[in-house]
Amino acid sequence: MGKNFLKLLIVLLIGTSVLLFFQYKNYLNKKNDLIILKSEVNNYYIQLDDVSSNIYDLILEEEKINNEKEKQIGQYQKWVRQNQILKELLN
Amino acid sequence: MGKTKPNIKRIVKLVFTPSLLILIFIILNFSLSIVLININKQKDHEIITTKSSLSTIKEVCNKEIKEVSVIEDKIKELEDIDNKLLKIKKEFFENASKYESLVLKGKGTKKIAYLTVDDGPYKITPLFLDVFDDYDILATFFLLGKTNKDYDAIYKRIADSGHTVANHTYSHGINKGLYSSVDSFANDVLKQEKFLEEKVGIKTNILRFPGGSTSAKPNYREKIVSRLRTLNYGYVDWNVSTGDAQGGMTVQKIYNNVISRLRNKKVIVVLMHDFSKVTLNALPSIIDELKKRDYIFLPLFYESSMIKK
Repeated sequence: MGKNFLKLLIVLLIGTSVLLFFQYKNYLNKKNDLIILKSEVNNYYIQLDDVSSNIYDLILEEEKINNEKEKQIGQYQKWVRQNQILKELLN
Repeated sequence: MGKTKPNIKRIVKLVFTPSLLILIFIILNFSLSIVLININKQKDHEIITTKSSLSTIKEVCNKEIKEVSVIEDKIKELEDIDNKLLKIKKEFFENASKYESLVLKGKGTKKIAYLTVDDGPYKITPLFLDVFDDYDILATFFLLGKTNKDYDAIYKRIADSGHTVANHTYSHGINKGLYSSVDSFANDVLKQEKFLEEKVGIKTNILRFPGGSTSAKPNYREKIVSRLRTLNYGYVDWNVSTGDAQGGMTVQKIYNNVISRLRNKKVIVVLMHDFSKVTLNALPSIIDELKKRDYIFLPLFYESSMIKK
C-alpha cells in the first residue's frame, strides 16, 4: 500500500511537473510574442512620428509653393477657362 | 512487539519521508502552475490589447502615408505649373487660330474682339486690369519702356495676369527721330524687347507702330517691315478705335466711337489707351455691348491673321 501510494505521488509529481513545464513554456512564448508586438508598436509609433512630421513639412512646402506660384496658378486657371470657351465654339 | 517498532520506523523512513517531499514538490508545482496560468491569462489579455493598438496604429500610419503621397502629388503638380501653363497656352493659341480662321470664313457662331491697350503702363493701368479681371478677359498691352520703379509692379501684373505683352517701341518717339531711319526704329524695338524681357521675362514678337504703321513714311515703312520680318516680328494696327487719344472725350463718345465702328466686322482689334480715365469708365459698357453682340475676347497671338508678317 505504501509503495502504491508512493507510485501515485510520483505520477502526480510528473503530471504537475509537466503542467508547470508547459505553463512556463507558454509563459515564455507569450512573453516573447508580447515583446515582439510591443517593439512592432513602437516601430509604428516612430514611423508615425516621422510621417506626421513629414506631413507637417510637406504642408509647409505646399503652402510655400502655393504662395510662390499663386500667380501662375491663377493664370493657368484663366487659360483653362478661356481654352474651354474656344473648345466649345470649335465643337 | 520489539520488531514492530523498527518496522514502523523503517516504513516511515522508506515511504513517509519521500512521500512528504514529493507531496511538497507536487504542491509547489501545482501552485506555480496556477500562478503561471493566471500570468498567462494576463499576457493573453495584454497581447489582445497590443494587437488591437497595433492594428489601429497601422491604420493611422497607412492613412498618413497615403496623405503624404497625396500632398507629394499636389506639390509635383504645383512645381509643374510652369510646364502646364506653357502647354495650355500652346493649346489655346492653336484653338484660337483655328477659330479665327472659321470666323473669317463666316462660320463661327461668335465674333472675335482683340482689346488692345497702348502706351502704358500708367498709374491707372491696374484699374484697367481690374476691369479685365472682373470680366475674365485677356487683352493685349502694347507697352513702352518706363524706368520709373513705380511701374515695375504694373509690368509684372500685366504679365502675371496672362495678358499678351507686346512691343510698342521703347521711346514712342514719333517726333524724336523714331521714324528717321530703319536702324533707329529697329534699335528702339530691340531696346524695348530687351527691356520687357528683363522686366517680365517675356520675349515678345508682336509690335504696334507708335501712331500706327502709317506713321512711318511710306518709303521707310516697307524697309522697316522688312527689317522687322528678319527680326521675326509681326505688327498689328487696329480696325476699331476708341478715339481716346483726342481731347474732349466723354464716356458716351468713346462708347459710340467703338460701337459705330463695329459695322459687320467679324474680327475687331480695338485701340484704347490706359492713360485715359474716360476710357476706363467706358470700358465696362463697351465690353457688355460687345458681349451682347456675340463677341468673344482674345489676347493677340503671333499666329493670328490680324498680325501682319
